[in-house]
Amino acid sequence: MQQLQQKVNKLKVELGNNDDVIVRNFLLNKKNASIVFVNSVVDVQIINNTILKALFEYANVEKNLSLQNIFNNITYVGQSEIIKEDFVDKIFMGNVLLFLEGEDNALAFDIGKCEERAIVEPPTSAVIKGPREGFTENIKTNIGLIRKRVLSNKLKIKDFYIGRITRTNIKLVYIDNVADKKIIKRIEEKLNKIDIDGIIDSSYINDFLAERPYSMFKQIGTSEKPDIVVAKMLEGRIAIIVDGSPIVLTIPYIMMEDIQNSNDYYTSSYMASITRILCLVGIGIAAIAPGFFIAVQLYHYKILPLKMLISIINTTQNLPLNPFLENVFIIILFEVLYEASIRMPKYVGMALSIVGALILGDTAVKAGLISPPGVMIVALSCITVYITPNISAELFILRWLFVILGGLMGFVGIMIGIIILYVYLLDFKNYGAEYLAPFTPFISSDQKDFLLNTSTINMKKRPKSIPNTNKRRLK
Amino acid sequence: MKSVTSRQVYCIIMLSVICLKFLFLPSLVSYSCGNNGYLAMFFALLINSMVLIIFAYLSKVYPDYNFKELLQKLFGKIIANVLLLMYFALFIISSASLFQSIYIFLLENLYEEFSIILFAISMAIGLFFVCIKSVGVFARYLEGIFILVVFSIFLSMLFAISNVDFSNLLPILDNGVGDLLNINRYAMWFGDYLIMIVLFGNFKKTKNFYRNLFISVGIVIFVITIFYAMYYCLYGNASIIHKNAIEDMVDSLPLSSDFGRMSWVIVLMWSFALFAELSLLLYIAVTCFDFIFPSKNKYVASSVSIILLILSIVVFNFNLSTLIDFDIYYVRYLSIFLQFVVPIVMLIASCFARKKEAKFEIPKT
Repeated sequence: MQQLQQKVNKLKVELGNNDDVIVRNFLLNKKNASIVFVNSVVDVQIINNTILKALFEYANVEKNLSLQNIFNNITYVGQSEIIKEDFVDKIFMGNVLLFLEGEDNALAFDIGKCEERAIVEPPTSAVIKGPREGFTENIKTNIGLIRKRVLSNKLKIKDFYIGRITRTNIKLVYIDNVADKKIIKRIEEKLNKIDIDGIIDSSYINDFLAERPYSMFKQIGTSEKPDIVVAKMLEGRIAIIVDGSPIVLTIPYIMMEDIQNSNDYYTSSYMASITRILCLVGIGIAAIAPGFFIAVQLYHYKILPLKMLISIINTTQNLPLNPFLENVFIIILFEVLYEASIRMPKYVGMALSIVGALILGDTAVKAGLISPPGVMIVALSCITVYITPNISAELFILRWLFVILGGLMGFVGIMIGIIILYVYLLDFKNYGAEYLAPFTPFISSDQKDFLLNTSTINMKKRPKSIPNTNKRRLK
Repeated sequence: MKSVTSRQVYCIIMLSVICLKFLFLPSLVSYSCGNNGYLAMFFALLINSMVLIIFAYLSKVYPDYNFKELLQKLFGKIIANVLLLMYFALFIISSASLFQSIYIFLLENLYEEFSIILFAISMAIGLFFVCIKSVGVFARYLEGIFILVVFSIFLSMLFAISNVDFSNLLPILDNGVGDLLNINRYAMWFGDYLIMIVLFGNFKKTKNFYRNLFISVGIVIFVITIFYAMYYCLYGNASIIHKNAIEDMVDSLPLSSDFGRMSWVIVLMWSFALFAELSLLLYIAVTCFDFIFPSKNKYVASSVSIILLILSIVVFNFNLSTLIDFDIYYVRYLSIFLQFVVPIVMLIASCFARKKEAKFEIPKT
């Protein structure tokens, strides 16, 4: 009795002596036993109604009571196992541990339970047609959402626990015989090397997995929708799910991913092609339009049609600021409003829109501080950023870059900026995938799902842009 | 490692042939050959393509040799280094001429005034960033730009097609074939195919590689000839004064002021093409320098090449006419030597080398 008590007390200390750590001692057929669990992470109803009930019923009929006998004879639907170590980890992960007098091992019943929100359509990936399910913060639910779509033993899941303090569960999910083994190995190596105190969200491991951690460009794909993640895995990508995060990471990432939208695959392929071209044009407008407009106003007004030139001159001639400063002022104004609207409570948001659009914008134009064409161009650029919300941060930085280059040197500055950017991205290899593929290097077979989205019948092979081990998709 | 694909080789070679032919050259050719310039250009390009045949043969015989190794094998180490130094000098001078041309092109078409110093600094940064990259990245960069080039040529010809007057081409060869020979003054020494200096030993050959390569070059020659013919159809005897051919073709379309100048689209796109051509010339220079003074990365070679490029422009006092005169009177002899004589000698030397190798080869039993 004393030995068991000492062991349980020691375990309680290791668990931090917290109030939610429950230790219950009882007799099982005259033999001392204890169960230990954390009541905030387990389902207490299952302990009372299933485990304890079954234990006592079995103890009444079995005289030679041991953990192995209990494990063999008690039917419990969830996972159970006899463990020799890692008692603390198991308890925190939602297990109930049963200790028996005279035995060093423990029997662990996995009855983890955590409050979670419902499965809803993610706000950043709304669709008109197609599945509306989105990932939640619960890793088990997220795995379930993927399993629901891949009813095959080819779906592989590997567990990692990262974070010296948080011990966050991270799952590496891929489809065997499709995902490239070398990439899986590299990701595993990188995950094993992470030595951080805590992982709160999937974005925490983003930098550790990135090939160029200091680059401003996105290197890891993200998605909140299980259908998208499964589709990506079927192309050879590997998904990384972090407990507590509804954002699932996918590797390798190529830039074209964010132009492809899940809607494209659920609507007409003609419509999808037009949408993709619009997306690409939108990216160009978002990044370059303000810089180009400044360059035209400062250096290249000769290229404008006469009527447009006159109209611009009429609206800008009495402005106190030159085109460069004027556009910088408008962009700052917009960004301030945007940041404020994100952080403000929802009910104030409406008021903020009125203050921003009507009072600040309209009054500034009427007061002659900024011109209507300037407001229009910046507004257009800011709106088009959200055509591809996943790369909005990059577009935001690029817009500033091109504004400065356009103001400083006109078209030559913008041209040099574009070339440097282009060459930089060309040199970008992300887990064996070329960042700008399939545009350059030009991969003709992948053009079926690039700018022009063709029918699924034509996509007989997996994309070459993503390294994979099984080329054929459609037989 | 061979990092350039066959498709990229076609694109690069086509780009190399195209880029310098669509701006000042049509008016210069018109000055020498009149409205038969398109025929003269056609024959000049055909003769030029003999160099490609030689290089193609050499790359077939020595697929794993880079240009330096090939020169060393055929001529020995010292001569190889001297030749590489000459190639380096040629491409620095060619880059300087093009650099100055781009500045004038932009000044005439986009800017009222633009500081040459600011232009030089920005171009130097851009060129440096491109030149330090590996051959594979560089090839992909040119592959991307190639689409812009094709699109701008297509657009330019499309705008002009409604105004062409075929009678401007007549009479054909009124002064005999003498007109055709005058072309060598400008078009015979561009060194279009010397880009192979970079590509030797670096490209993967797919099935029918050489056939496709010659077809690509044939298409380019055809397109250039058609472009020149259209250009002379449009402007006839006035072709001499239209010095920005690709842009002037678009301006031939009478548009009301409501539309503005449509040629700015071409100007913007062609600026990218010219920058690509400049980086191509400089990349060859950087490669030659790197062959002579090998280093781990291309930082030193790129820095030296860009500094020399800027210095050569300063030496010529930022004057394009002086630079072009220098090219025509002095550099062209160097160019003809390096573009035609050296490859022919390489071809002969390789034949001897192969015979020699065959002699010492142990027959299989």
